Amino acid sequence: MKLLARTTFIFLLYASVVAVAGTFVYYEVIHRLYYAYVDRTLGRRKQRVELALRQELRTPADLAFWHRIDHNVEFVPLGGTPAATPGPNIFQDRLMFNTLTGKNQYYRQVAGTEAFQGKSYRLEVRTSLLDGPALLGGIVLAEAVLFGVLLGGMLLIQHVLARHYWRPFYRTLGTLQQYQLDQHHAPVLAPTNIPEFKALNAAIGRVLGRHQRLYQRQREFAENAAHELQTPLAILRTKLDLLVQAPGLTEEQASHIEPLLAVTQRLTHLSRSLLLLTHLDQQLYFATETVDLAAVVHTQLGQLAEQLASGQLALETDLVPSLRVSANRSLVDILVSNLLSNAIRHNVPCGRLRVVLTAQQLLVENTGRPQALPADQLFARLRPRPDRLPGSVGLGLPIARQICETSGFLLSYHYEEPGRHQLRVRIS
Amino acid sequence: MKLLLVEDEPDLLASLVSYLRAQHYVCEVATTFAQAQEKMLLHSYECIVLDLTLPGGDGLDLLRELQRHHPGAAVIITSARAAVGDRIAGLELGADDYLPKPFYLPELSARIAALVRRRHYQGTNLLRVGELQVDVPARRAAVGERPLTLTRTEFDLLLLLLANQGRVVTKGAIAEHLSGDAAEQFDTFENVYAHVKNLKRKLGEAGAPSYIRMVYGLGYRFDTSEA
Repeated sequence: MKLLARTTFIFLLYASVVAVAGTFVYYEVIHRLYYAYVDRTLGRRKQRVELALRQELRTPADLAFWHRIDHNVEFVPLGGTPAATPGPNIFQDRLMFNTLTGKNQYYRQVAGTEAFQGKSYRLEVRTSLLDGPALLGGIVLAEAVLFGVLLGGMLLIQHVLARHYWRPFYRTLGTLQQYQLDQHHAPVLAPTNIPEFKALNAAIGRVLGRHQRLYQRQREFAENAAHELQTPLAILRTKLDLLVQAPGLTEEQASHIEPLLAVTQRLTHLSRSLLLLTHLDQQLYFATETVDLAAVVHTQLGQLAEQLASGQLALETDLVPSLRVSANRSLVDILVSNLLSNAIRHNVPCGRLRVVLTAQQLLVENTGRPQALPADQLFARLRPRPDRLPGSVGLGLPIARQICETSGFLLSYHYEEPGRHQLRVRIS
Repeated sequence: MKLLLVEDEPDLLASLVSYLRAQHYVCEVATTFAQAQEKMLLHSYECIVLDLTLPGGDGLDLLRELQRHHPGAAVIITSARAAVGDRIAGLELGADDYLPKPFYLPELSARIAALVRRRHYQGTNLLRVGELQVDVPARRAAVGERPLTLTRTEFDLLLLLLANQGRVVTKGAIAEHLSGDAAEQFDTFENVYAHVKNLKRKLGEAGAPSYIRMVYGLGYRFDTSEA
């Protein structure tokens, strides 16, 4: 439930409680007011009747006559001698048959004893009462209508509020949802006049800006560092190329040059990997084309035939004849090459390499140490790992993962059988 | 064969000149944008090796200008800017090849040789080295009258060695030539050993003298004179 809907809901819940309670309160108040009014009116009418009793009426027949023309005034003869003082007024509700409507209905009456010509009478003056349940029903109906108006009004107000006052908030939220750190600019948050949202946007803008700058700096640093390495490496490499041409090169000199060639090779590989990673991180545009993954796997396996043979590894393949994916060809080459190389590097002597390609995924499985590898460290960049081999640069899998991310694939590590390490690329 | 080498790094330029002169190329050099611009437009070269980051301007602009005045000039870009975008831009602007730094000199030499061959002998060029005949466009080789059946890799290897005759081509250079710079590199060179061994065996079986020699475990040299 949205925040605004939630507040509205709570508000309406409270309003409904108040409305229900209000119904009874209204009923009670109206009921009391009505009774007070009815009782006062009855009291005054009784006084008028008493006045007429003293001044106008002559015989008991007159009393009966009055009752005949006005049913709501009745003199009921009582036995015995009248008291010296008139009795107190007694108010009560009573159910009586109404000859006009032909129904029993409630009446309010006031009664008191009166003396007339030496005889005692009880004077009853009454009036028909408003129907209680009908009153309640009326109030409930009125309340329901009011509540309906309230509900409709609230929903309308909420809608307007959401559209108008909350709009900056939803805009900021939308911007944040689409935000990615590797965008070139921090997102621009729409201006607003509402102080809370203003403060929120300012705070978010500050944090984003700082992160963006940090990220940008780090990325530029990595790219520049790798880039700056290329030229010295180029000099080193070409000088070594010239050095090995030297006439009269002795075997001892050659034995010193060989490791230099090897480390130059490794440095080159490292700086190229770093450069590739920064480019992948920057999500530079990589042109996509239709690449036959099965063909790529075949080619890369062919390239690695000697490495497989030298490790005396048994290769098992189960490949679909052809699998077309839309991706950048160089990146797919690197991805497959890295996965296969990794599986060969970390294999055991006389181990196995299994490559399975289905329409959904590429699976590369190698025999290895009989325990699962920590998956989070597997893809960490340049992190020293217990299983890191001396010759390896340690960027093969991070690059593979980054390529998968760029290409819309999913790379994951699985350890389902002891000693068998699986890397899976989910293609679709 | 006249080459123009455009490179602002003096040490690197010296290496290029030294290696390529020994390959019997005539090398002219330019170290700034202005120098390169002047030489490019005034003279014509068999091949121009062009660095992209130059003092005074961007190599890509130079390339644009060159294509306006000498369309079809042979250009190999060497750049530390290995950005994919640069590579594509360079090739779209008419460069024939793109060699990211750092590169091996034998690789550059082979690329220049391939480019020059392609430009000068369209389709009909038979390379004769000692008793070896190589038809590059047809990717066929023979020793005397006996044809060699070489795999694609072995043929590529042969071309690399032929482009660098009499020079030591290191194992690393061969490995990179065979697998491309995109491939994950192994520090072991099983690939190289295996392919060289096969090539030597096939040459030997066809009756060629042992042209390919290993040099102290550093690399290999193709030499007809030593045989």
